[in-house]
Amino acid sequence: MKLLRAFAICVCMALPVFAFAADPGAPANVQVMDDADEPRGTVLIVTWEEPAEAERPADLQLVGYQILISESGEPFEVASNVYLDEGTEAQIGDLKPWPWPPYFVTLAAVYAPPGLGFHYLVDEDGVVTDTRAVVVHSDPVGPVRPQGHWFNVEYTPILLLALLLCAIIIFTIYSVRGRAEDVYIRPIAGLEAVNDAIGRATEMGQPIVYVSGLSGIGSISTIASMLILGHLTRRSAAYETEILVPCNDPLGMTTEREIVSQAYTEAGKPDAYRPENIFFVTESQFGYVAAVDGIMLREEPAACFYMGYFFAEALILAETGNETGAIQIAGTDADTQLPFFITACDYTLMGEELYAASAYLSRQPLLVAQLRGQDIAKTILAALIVAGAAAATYAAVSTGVLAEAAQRFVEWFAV
Amino acid sequence: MPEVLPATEIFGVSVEIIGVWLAAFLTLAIFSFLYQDNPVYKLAEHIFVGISAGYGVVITWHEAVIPLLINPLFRPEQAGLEAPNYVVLVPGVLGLLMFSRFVPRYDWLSRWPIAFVMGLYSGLTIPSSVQGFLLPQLHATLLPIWPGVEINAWTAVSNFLLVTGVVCTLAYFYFSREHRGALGAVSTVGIFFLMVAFGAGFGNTVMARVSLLIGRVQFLYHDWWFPHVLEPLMQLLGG
Repeated sequence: MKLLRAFAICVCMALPVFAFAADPGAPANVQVMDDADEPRGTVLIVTWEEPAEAERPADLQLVGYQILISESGEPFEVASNVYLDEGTEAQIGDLKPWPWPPYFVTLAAVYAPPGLGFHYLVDEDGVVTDTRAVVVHSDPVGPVRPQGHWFNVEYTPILLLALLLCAIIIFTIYSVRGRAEDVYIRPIAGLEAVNDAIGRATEMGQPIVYVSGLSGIGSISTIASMLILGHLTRRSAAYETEILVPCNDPLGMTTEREIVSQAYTEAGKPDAYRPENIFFVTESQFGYVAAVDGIMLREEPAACFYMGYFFAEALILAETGNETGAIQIAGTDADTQLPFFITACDYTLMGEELYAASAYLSRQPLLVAQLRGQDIAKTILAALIVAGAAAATYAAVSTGVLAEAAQRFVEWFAV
Repeated sequence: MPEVLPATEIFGVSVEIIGVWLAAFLTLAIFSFLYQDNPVYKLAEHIFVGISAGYGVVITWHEAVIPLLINPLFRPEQAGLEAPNYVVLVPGVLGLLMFSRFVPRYDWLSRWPIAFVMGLYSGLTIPSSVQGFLLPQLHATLLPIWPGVEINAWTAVSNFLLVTGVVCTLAYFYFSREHRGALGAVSTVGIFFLMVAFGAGFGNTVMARVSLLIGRVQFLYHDWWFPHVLEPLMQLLGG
């Protein structure tokens, strides 16, 4: 039974092979091999020689080649068309990745009457449909299996750097545990003002508006923003100061409701939590901005917080908030929007200050340790930059083995 | 089922003309916000928010739910498959769990898809940030800072400023040490570099915004005011 099955499989594998047989005028010496420079194993390279002049059909001229491919047992399909001036080597890309199935490949020489270009002969799928064309197939080559690599050597620096950064963070979490309160975190003006903003809102009896950016829940800055929202709500809940959170991401809204609800509970005011204050507006960028602008003008909040990733709407939001006279605190890692927040807001958390904010406000050992770890990583990066610049300078001004080694050091970081 | 063609006229007026008038009205309504909040702005705002939210639902249905969930499960031939792909049930069920928010007793189930999305993105961000930002920026900073065979004096000065700026700015974002002494001096230089960069960014973006405003004003004048207001008025007055 096993023998019969093996025979049947062999017949199926061979079927496409017999579908084409080389005729005079077919490309010669067709070879198919794995692209060794492509680590995913999704590219094959096909090389061939032009058909001999004597074998070509009379009154027709060679206009190009057609590469056909078949996954074992499947009919042949056009993989690509190669024009005559593109040489005698081509790639077949976008093949199936792991487990890298084997393929049969055949190459067809396409002949046409003089003056008729290759592109006139094929339909939109690349199949030669013009009856004036003559297509001569080579013998199928195969089975050829692309070779994928489990480890992409080119990406070694990425792996090492990621491992180094993770190791530093894990080490600092281990070393800081139990003494997070003792770790120094430099004052950040924008965060010092958070209490003032909450106090102002409480005194005025006006709400706080919190906008957590427009980059969705998957963005790191949104996650950082949500941590800040939790701390902010915990403090404002203690004074029962209302906080309005218009959302532009449904998933973000759900998460923010959870965070705010949790914060109210932790502040001992679960009854003061109003889920309708955290509401979805729209996913449209400017639709959202128009709505938030309207809310700010009508509700006249005492404080506005813009924390997260922002795009062109940054200035529109901050300007409107400024119009209402609210105290405004912004924080973003969108470097193109930072200038606008700096101009229009009272305080701005720049770049990584946004990530540091949650550690600064909460003093949670895990977050403080992360911050410490990031500082160590920054020191290493600064040292690498100085060493790399020195190596690049040495490689530029001198020659010899040392200069080559210096150049190799610099190039190691090129991915 | 007969094909339904879009209307070209409404009450004898071309749809295009109605569109231009609507666009002009909504543009002016939004601009009226520059004066102060008013009912016309509120109308435009509510139209904008309502239409964009509704449009978002339709897009999600047609671009995500149908091609990524319904077709692979129930109409595999339309998804280019020979048999139903039951793997899509996993994201499908995760998505459906979000509806548990409507049942307070089981609303905790909605945390699963949120946890999945946040975990997935956090995991993806680490290697992609190292590959896409950290290493390319690091490599782009490793530059010769002294004139050599292929480096002229100006390039060397430019490279020196770049390397110094990056190191000093990094020092500014050092949080676990007091910014005093050498660290304080270096981070102060970093702040200068940041402010210069922000100034350049500000100017650049303001220019882009002004060009957007010009585009809008051109629309108002060329597409609406001149052909639909001024010209008919002139014809009416026999000009």
